Amino acid sequence: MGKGKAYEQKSIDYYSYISDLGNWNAVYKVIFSMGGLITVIGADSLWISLVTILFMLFLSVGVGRIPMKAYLRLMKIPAAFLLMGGAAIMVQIGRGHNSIFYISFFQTKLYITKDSLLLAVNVTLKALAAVSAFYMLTLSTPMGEIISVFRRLHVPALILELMHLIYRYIFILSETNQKQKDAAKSRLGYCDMKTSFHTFSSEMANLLVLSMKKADMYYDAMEARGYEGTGIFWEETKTVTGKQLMYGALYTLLLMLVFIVLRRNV
Amino acid sequence: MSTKQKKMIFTLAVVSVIMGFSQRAYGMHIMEGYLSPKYCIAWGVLSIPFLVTGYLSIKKKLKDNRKNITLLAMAGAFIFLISSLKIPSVTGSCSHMTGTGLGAILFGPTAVSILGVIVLLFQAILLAHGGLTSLGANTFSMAIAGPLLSYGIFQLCKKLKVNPMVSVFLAAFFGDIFTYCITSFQLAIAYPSEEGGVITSMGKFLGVFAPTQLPLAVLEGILTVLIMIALKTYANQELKLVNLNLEEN
Repeated sequence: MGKGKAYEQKSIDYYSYISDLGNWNAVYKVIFSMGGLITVIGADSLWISLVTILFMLFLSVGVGRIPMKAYLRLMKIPAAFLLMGGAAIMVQIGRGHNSIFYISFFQTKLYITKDSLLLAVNVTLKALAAVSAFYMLTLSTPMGEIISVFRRLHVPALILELMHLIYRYIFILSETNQKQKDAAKSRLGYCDMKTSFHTFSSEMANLLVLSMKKADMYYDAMEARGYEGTGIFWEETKTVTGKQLMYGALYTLLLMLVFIVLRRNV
Repeated sequence: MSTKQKKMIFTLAVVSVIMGFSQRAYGMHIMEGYLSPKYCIAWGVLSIPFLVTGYLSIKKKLKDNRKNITLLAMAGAFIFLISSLKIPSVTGSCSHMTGTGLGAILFGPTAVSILGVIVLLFQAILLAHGGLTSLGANTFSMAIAGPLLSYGIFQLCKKLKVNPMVSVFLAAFFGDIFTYCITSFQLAIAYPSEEGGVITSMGKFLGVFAPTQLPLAVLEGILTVLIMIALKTYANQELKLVNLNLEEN
């Protein structure tokens, strides 16, 4: 794997630890991000979506200093869903009286109307806006802090504990799997289709066995460190500063401006 | 004639672009912001009874033995991993298993509902598959409906004394297909067609996602069988640990 590739492999989790928005108060970020999300899907407006996409880009890349290239790559993750979902919404089937484009398809017609085209564009932008609002949170907030917000929302302790443990175990298992894969590859385990299937499923079976064995071990380790049925996790206190509030106010102001302009035009 | 040809070429171009982009075929997570608030809430509410049942069953499991907490967490991490790993596929593009069938067979549908909701949340946060607003809809299709059907088929096959590996295949295959149908339905009622409404729309969503989802379901079935064979061969002890014994049937 080349150096460039290694850079591309960086995950959302990685950025959540290095973002300059990392020192923002987590509850505030959740409210900010959720506010954006709800506004976008509630307002259902092209302009609100556009403003949100740009503002969240500004926050994550401009203020949070996530590399632009990485941000754009992350925005491409839902591309497949957007394209296929968009196509299904845009293309209509039937007689198609007021279509702007159509092709015959067996006995019927596949066509696009102005409305369906607009709807598809609107939904796509709305989805991208929602994703960027959510990225603002996930690209700047480590999982531990997100879970602590859930704790404040009175999610049962058992679920929180499961979340903490699952988060940790995901990395342990994925590291183990990486080693399995390297070992298998070096022994030509992925040389052709049939072998790959066989190797992959053996890997998974083995991984399950390993994970169950590890689970037993980890419980003993936890108990040895005084675990008595509730996991207690350290939380950093981060205060809401005026600067953080200013960005929120700026976003709200922009949204209000868009609302006023839109209303005037109607 | 030339316009017809042009349209033909245009259509082919669109199809190939879609095919090109769909190289990373994940299980069908409805993405962030795709559903209107009405449906976000409705699917969430619909999932609640199942989640509460799951929560209570997990709580009981832990009361029986506190040690189950790490076991459950490992199961959750395993489901997360299996649904995010590339699987070898015929076309050279990379696809991913959903893990619903395997999860339901190994850990039971009640535990999978809670683990599933956590896994879906993590997928949204860590991998940007699915989302927070669509969490309810995705939970219903992937953590509840799919696993329940898989488990039902697996149990039914057990009663009918079907070959265990055939029943594993059927459970995983239909679990996948069912998830894909439910997701299409969720999208269809959110975006009904201008002509023909929800039913036509569902046909469209089913059709658009079919090229990636149908091969995926077959692949998922085959891989789940291979994984179960491997587990049965090497890890009967561990299977008993997670309450499954294939020797029984």
